[in-house]
Amino acid sequence: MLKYILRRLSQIFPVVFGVTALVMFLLRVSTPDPGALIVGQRAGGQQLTALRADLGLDLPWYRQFCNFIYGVVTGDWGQSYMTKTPVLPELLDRAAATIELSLLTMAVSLAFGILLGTIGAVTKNKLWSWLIAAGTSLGLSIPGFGLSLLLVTGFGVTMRLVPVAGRVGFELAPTHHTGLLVLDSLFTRNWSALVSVIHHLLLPTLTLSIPTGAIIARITRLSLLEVVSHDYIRTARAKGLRSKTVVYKHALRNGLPPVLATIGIQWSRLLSGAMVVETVFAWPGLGLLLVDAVQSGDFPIIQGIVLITAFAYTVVSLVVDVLCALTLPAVRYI
Amino acid sequence: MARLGIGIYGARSTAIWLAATLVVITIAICAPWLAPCDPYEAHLERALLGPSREHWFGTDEYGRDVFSRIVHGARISLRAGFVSVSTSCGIGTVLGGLAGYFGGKTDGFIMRLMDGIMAIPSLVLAAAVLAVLGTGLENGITAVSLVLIPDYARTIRARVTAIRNAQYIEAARSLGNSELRIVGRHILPNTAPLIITRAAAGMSTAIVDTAALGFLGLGATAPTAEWGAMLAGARTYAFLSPHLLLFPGLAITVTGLSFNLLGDALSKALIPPQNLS
Repeated sequence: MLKYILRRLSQIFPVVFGVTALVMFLLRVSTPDPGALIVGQRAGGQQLTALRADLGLDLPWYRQFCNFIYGVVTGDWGQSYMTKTPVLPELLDRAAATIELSLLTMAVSLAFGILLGTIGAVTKNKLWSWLIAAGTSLGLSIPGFGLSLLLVTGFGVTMRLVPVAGRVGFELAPTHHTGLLVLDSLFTRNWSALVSVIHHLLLPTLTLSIPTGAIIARITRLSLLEVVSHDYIRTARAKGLRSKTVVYKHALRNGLPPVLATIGIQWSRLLSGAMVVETVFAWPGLGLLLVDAVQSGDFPIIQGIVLITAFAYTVVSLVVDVLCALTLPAVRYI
Repeated sequence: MARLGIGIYGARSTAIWLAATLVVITIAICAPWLAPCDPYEAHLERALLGPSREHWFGTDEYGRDVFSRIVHGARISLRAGFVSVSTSCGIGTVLGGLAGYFGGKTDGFIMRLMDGIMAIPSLVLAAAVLAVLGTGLENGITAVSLVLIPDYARTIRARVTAIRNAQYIEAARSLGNSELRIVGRHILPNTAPLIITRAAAGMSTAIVDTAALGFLGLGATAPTAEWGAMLAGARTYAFLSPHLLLFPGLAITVTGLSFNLLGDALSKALIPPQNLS
């Protein structure tokens, strides 16, 4: 097992290294001279030279690359061009909002996706099976921005059932501990804040869960249909096991790991969707920050977001793979 | 069709969704004749009207006819879809084919590169590329093309790896066929059904992603009759005129859904079940 984890770890280093190199390349292509951008148009030549030396921009590219990697590892991710503040603390603060939203979405989509996918695979009822297949196709194709706008207009603006922007009511914000507002308000026993936070989470979570839940339902259904056709399932049925036992003990046990193995990719898709949903709901997460940063040309922020999402994807896939290897020994030898 | 091996199974749903996509394509081609008004002509005196007999989908904040804008938007979206799918599918097929056929170090290098691209969420990468190239519709299409490449490369690589060691390839080689002939006559035709299937489904992704970039204000911008940008503009008037949100949203959904289901139907019709996994 340890060997598998080590082998899997050795595979992620080239990816992380490659992404970092790609990001640095993008940055250099886009702004050959960030110095000029930082000090502004009217700065004198002397000031510029001093700043370049200060930031290490006068060094050859490979030294710059080493410095960049060193900075990423030690937590110095550069300074925002716009706010002139360090990038990493800002990113972590924003990431908390995105993490809260995406964790909840993942939980909801897994629960509903696996449930519906299982029903779709094992039901004898043609109508149910067709409804689930059609529903997942629709859920997959309906664009996130269309759906979120529809829900915002319907439930938020017209019916005024839920708030349409932000994470928590202005006056209610709980004391900052983790940045995850649900946990923060639980820790401080601030119940009115908790209610407000959950109220704000409802619509964004619903919007994001529909495509993610749909794809999980589809993968679960396909995976289970494949498993159910195996001989050992027929044997289990033939020896008179109840169909519930066959589904839960035999089919799901073998059918779920391939589904869980896609969580990494689903997470990545989810973060794409979150960009749009955050924009619609004014959710102060990474997506909203990225859209602003692209429009203002704030490259250190963009590069930080690319890095942080790529790291998150790599770590999530690693954890998921290890968990799969723990439940299904055969995975370790692939 | 017979040569591609379309079976009875899946042929009917293929026909239905092919027809649906053809309708969208026809609308896009015939836009200038179908649209009753100029999509860019403002008439402030009839701004924000609801759907009526004169304006089927109502009018927007400048009094432009929404139906005409949607019909013209089909051109932009479909062109974006075709351009980005043919670019990414072309590059992805070549990369995936090289990786699958040669294996070893070539495979390792190409696939690690693809892994690196896949590690970044697609819209995040597209946004980063747009930050470098500058925002706008054309650059948005380029960004979407880049983002879609790994998907094709991985699929084609898996297929080519599987075919490469098949007996008939060995037979062709032992008969003295050149590498080029083996690739051209045996390997490429065998990946064709897969490429067609993925390209159809890819159209859906490309169209929705381009619209998403337009919506975020990173792709097509304000006056352009692009569905995503139209939605972004309609947000301000969501309360007064929900029809401004409804119709572009429906247009994107219906187009995306048709191409997606066409892809599903094609994969059922073209690919024998044992090759699906």
